[in-house]
Amino acid sequence: MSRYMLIALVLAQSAIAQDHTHEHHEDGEQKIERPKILLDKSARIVEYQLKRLDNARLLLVETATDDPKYVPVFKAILLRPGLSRQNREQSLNGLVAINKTDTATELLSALESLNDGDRDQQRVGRQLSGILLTHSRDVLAARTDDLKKAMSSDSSVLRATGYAGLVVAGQTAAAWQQAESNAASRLAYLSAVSLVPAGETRNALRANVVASLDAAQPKAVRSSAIGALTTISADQTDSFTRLAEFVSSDSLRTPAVRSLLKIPDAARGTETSKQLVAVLVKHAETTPAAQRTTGEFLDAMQLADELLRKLPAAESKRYRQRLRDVTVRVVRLHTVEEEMRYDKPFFAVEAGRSVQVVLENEDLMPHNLVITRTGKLKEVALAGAELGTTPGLDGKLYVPDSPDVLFSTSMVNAGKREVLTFTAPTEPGEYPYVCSFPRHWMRMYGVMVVVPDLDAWQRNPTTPKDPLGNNRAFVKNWKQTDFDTAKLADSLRGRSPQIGAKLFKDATCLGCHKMKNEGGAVGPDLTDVLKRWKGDRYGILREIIDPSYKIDPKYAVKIVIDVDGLTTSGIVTAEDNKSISILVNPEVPKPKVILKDNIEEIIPSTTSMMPKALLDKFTTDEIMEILSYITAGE
Amino acid sequence: MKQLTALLPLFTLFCGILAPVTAAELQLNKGDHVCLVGNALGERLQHRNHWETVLHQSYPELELAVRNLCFPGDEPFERIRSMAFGDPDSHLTHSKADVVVYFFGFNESFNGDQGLTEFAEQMFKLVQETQGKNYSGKGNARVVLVSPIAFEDIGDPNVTDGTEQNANLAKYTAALMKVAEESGAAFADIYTPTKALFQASGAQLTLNGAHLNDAGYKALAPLLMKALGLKAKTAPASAALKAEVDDKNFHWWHRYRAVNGFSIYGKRGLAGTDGTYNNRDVMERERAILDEMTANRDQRIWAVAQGKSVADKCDDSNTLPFITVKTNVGGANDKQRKAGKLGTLDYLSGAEQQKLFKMADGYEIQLVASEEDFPELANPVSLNFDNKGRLWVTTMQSYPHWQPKTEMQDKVLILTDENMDGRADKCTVFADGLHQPTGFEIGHGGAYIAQQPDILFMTDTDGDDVADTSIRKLVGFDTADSHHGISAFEWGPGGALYFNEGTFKYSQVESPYGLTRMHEAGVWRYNARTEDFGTHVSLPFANPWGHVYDKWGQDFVSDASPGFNFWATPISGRVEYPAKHAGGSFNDSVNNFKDTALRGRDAYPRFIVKRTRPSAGNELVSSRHFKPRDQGDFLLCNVIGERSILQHSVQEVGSGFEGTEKPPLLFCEDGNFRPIDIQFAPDGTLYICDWHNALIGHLQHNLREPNRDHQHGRIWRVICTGRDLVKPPAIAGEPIPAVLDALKEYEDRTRYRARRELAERASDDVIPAVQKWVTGLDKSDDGYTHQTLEANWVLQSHNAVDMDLLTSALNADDHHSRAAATRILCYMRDKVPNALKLIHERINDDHGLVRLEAVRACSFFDSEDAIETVLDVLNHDVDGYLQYTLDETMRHLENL
Repeated sequence: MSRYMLIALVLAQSAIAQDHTHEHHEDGEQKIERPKILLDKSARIVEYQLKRLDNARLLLVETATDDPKYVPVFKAILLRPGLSRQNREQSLNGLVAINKTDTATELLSALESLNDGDRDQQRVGRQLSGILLTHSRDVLAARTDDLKKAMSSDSSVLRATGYAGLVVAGQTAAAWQQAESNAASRLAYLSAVSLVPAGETRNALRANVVASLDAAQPKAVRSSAIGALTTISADQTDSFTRLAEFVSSDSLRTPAVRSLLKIPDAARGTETSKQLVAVLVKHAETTPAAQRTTGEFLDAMQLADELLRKLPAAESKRYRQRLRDVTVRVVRLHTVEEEMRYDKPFFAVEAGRSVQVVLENEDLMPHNLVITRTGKLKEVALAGAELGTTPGLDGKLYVPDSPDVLFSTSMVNAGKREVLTFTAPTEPGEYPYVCSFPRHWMRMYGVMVVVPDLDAWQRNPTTPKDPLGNNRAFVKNWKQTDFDTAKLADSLRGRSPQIGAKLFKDATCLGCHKMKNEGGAVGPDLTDVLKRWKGDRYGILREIIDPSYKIDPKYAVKIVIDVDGLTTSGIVTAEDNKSISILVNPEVPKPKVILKDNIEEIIPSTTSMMPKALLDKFTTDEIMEILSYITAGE
Repeated sequence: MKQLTALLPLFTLFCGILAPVTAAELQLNKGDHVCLVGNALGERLQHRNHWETVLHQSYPELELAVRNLCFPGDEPFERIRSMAFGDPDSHLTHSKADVVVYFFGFNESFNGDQGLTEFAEQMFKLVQETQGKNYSGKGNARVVLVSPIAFEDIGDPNVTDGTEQNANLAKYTAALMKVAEESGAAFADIYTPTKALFQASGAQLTLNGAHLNDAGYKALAPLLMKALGLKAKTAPASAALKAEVDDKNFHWWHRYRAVNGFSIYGKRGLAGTDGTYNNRDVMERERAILDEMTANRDQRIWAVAQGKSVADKCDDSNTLPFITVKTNVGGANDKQRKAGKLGTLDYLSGAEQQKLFKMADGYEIQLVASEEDFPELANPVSLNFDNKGRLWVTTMQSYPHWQPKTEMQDKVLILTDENMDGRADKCTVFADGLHQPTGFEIGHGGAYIAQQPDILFMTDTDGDDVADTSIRKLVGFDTADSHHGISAFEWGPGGALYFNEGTFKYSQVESPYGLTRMHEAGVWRYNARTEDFGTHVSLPFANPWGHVYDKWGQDFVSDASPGFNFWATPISGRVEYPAKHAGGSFNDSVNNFKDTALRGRDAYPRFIVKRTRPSAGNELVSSRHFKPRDQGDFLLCNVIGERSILQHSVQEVGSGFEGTEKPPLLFCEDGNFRPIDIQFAPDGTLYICDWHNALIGHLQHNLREPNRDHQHGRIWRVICTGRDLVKPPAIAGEPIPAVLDALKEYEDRTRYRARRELAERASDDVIPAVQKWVTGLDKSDDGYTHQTLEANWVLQSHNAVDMDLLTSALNADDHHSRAAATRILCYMRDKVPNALKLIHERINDDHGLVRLEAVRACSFFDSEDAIETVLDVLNHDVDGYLQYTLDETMRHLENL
């Protein structure tokens, strides 16, 4: 009984996007009733009822802007973790209309209500803060008094927003003056740094961040300043030297190491690197064995490993030998949130040596790490996806039992890590690694370079060949605001459909989208996308740059859990009374059919299946070529 | 399925008028194995063997083997079972079914018109699937559909007259007939003839309107033969033949419904190894022996039916040998011994053991009875006092499991102390030949006795203290584990009977109002007056063995294995299977909530911090013989960790309760002391039932471990040095006003027995007497509020409400009365005008406990209005207990 209700509920989520409602009727999907909320009762009662609704049902609650009784509904949506920015912006507009206020006022008030101890709420808070800080300098300047008040709020994210807002409003000096008054204020200022839009405005804060590193400051302030400094892109060489000093400090080593890891190689001075290696190796030797597996220690060893390449080979070798005596070499690999990629495109290991690869999954969805034989990336990934939900090698999902698989983790859930310890192949070469979860392989891969002499290689590292033949370099982490809506029409002039079609393929769009009867069926057919979007090219561009801003419910990923606890995730392509067809893998166009009797639960995902940052290796011109191509019409 | 779709519109034409039967007739062949499958109508046939006797008597030459595979509560595709019981096909294959007789439609009929189509579809699917199977190896199964019987109006104003049920049963019977016609199954309409039978019969033929009694099954036998299209011999049923059928079905019953299923085919079948054989090896062998013994009895049935002579006793020398188990007790690797949990195989005498008790200051211990005086007192497991003040005890000599080829010797004993010296001097066997009577309660002129999967009701009609009638009063409890209940019988103050069940169990109990399922532990509630049956607390406990009510009707449940104690009010709101309340030891594995706030065994808090485990029975101190400082304390039997009676003070905190442990009342240095049940006697002393066993339990040894004790048992009592015994008022057989006056007594257990006495008197006498008694109460008496509440409870136990009396209790100054009256209001809501409005007023009460009772009560009402009502509690302070109760009530109401 309950399992059918869940299905109905999931289907109802489709009804959220009202512009698609008619399509659902055609698909035979059913609507569920709106939850009945007793809006005329006291706010506490209404809030309690709303709190009991899951995200899908919350979005179904009736709203209107003609009665204050809808305020709690809009507030609940504005503050609910896991909803899209579009949902939040709509609720924000609702609140503004009812309260006859403005978005800044509503955002400041919403930020005030957030619970400091709740990670989810803090995350929502940073999103809301982000919306507020996109307001213009003038708008924020007009709110100077409110922002100043916010600077002493009980809510930490609001305090930081106050400082960041004042900075954006152009009152940098006033913000710093307040920050200097006591340690708590300075902490708020420092946590505001990463909220301030990156670039000049943020870089202007650097002197104050550096000043906060001073030994006279309390530990918490210095620790926070250490974190803030790496979010500033200016003078990173200087930042590296400054941060290096803290690695000798037992109390500040951990934040310093983490910040140093974020500083690009080019900004890492050789002399400082040498000194740091000495300190870190000593640290490794004096750390008791039992503590050599902590995250902090692994961070320190990763930093040492990265810095060794700055040293002459002989010296590097000596240090490496000392490290080997106390610990196995560690390579840390992170996933990047919502971008479907690993943070490293390649790493090197020494042939025949033991190594520990730590996969830290910082994305919101599960990933794994499968290291394959040279040239076997695609085969392994496809074979893994082919498995569907049948457990593969050693019971691991999506890992095929194949001689092409050298080493593999199991699926690592969001926020978890797994350590893979192995002896590197004795044969030097380029061994691809990949996330074998269906569809991820196209973007989420890299190369493990096996070299005979690691120190020699690191002194003169060579970028391995892209295992899929994709030789693009990173251009920019594009944001929608990088594109000016007014200039869009101009930018699209003079584009070539041939180039567009080629780039469409290069950017892996074709794997999931059909264009003129060619391509995959995971995402919507783009042939007539312009018509469906009523000519809104800027809106279409947003879909590409920020896919989770709004998800067409037809293409939202659903995770189906069956009675045996196995999960299948993908796009629901068909459904009847008895079964649900779910497209798991674009390479296997035949959907998997699951009997409803066997379904325990269907969980809708709030993020799009389409990865972010698909175009980060493409220039403005190339992006415009693609946009022009897909919006050319007939 | 296509065929069925075509005939579906026909179902809408059924309005209870039956067309003549045109379905195929049942064809029986020589040597057929006839398997009965379905609900309690069929299940009870094997205990009232009139029909099967007539069948063999009418067709002796066919040599039929009948196997009953029914379970109360079974529906075509919903038949809940404990782990690895085996699916229906595996059992039909085991029994080599040639003919499958389905008994469905009764439980389903409570879904009315709404459920009719689904029922027909399911039956059609079931019949087709069954017809496609060859279970016997001799050909495809032949299917017979037997309709439900009609509902009997038993003329009891407290029990439904069945008008609505009959309207539905007629429709479901018609639907079955259509399914039979379409599928080629044979069909037997027994609805129509039983409806006529009930109208014509002077005698009551059902237990409760819905389920036949012995006379009912006797009357059904020829009707069922005729409906099946079989020719019944008109000669009276042969008693000799029926005795053979009884004996065959007894052995089959203990094979198919073997207690301890979880320790046979379930997970713990793999436990209890002696190095070679585990529980499953040993017990499956016993089930195989029972199969052979059943087959031997088939032969005797055929011989007797054919008029041949048979030996006096059935010859079972052809069966497999039993597996003899080696002991794992006391050796070098005995984990229990290392952990100090094993007692000593050198059992001490009662006198020696007595010296080893360590008592709290001012208390001493006395031996009331031991196996040395009364060999019947072997493995005593529960105790109680009747209204005459006599001690009753159940014993489980056969624990953990009766062995085939032996006599069943588990008992209910009455131990009397005629010279009043505190030592029992007479032992009367009230009931013998029982199996695992894990708990019992006295009342309604007899005793309710657990014998899983049943609760028996036994009475002594001639006054010799020996039971001479026995009926299977409630059936359908699971048999997965003999030590997981049914236990801790307790009358609620309003006259409902409560009893507990432990985890692993998947129970289905039918009532005249519909089916109740519960899985994985809880507390049941049975109202014998109205025949209403349901769950009281459905929470994933491990094995709850204690349940007690305080003076004001608040109850507390003790979970044995983890040693956890729970205040029961917040977890006794309504939930519907398969939902259970959040919390308990197995919350995560059973409930598996997605919402993290509902997860973990702390989702519902214990009211006492656990120090040592496991526990068993519990009791509240309410005895003027005990010291004033101990009054109201919560006592708990600890059977392994410390072998003591733990003692806790109880405080009201916010909307609920909090207990604080005090030094134990007693503990015993004899490792064999296993206090399993406690209760205050009428004289104010505390009686302790000592299971008295060196071995600690079920799981730690093979079920047939040779050192399991089958002989010892002790009853102790705690007296307070230098304090007078309580002089209890006479209750049994006293005039009603005198019994009512006993409700003014201090001791909870005295009032308990007085209520129990009043519940068995005639309502027509009791109700006016209560009203008269109340007018005579002294309003200035400190006890007046409580006496008014008692009056309400007595009325509730007679299914009556006096609005003035209830209003007085609902509006009393003492919040305890307001809370208790709110619960009465909840249970009597159908008889109270504007019940939800009255509940709403309690939602806004000044005291949290009253608000909490009102929030709980809302879960029993229809959803929309109840949601509106219950949410208003948020306009007041809401502490942890209240928030839990609100969340649980909302979770239930939102899912309606």
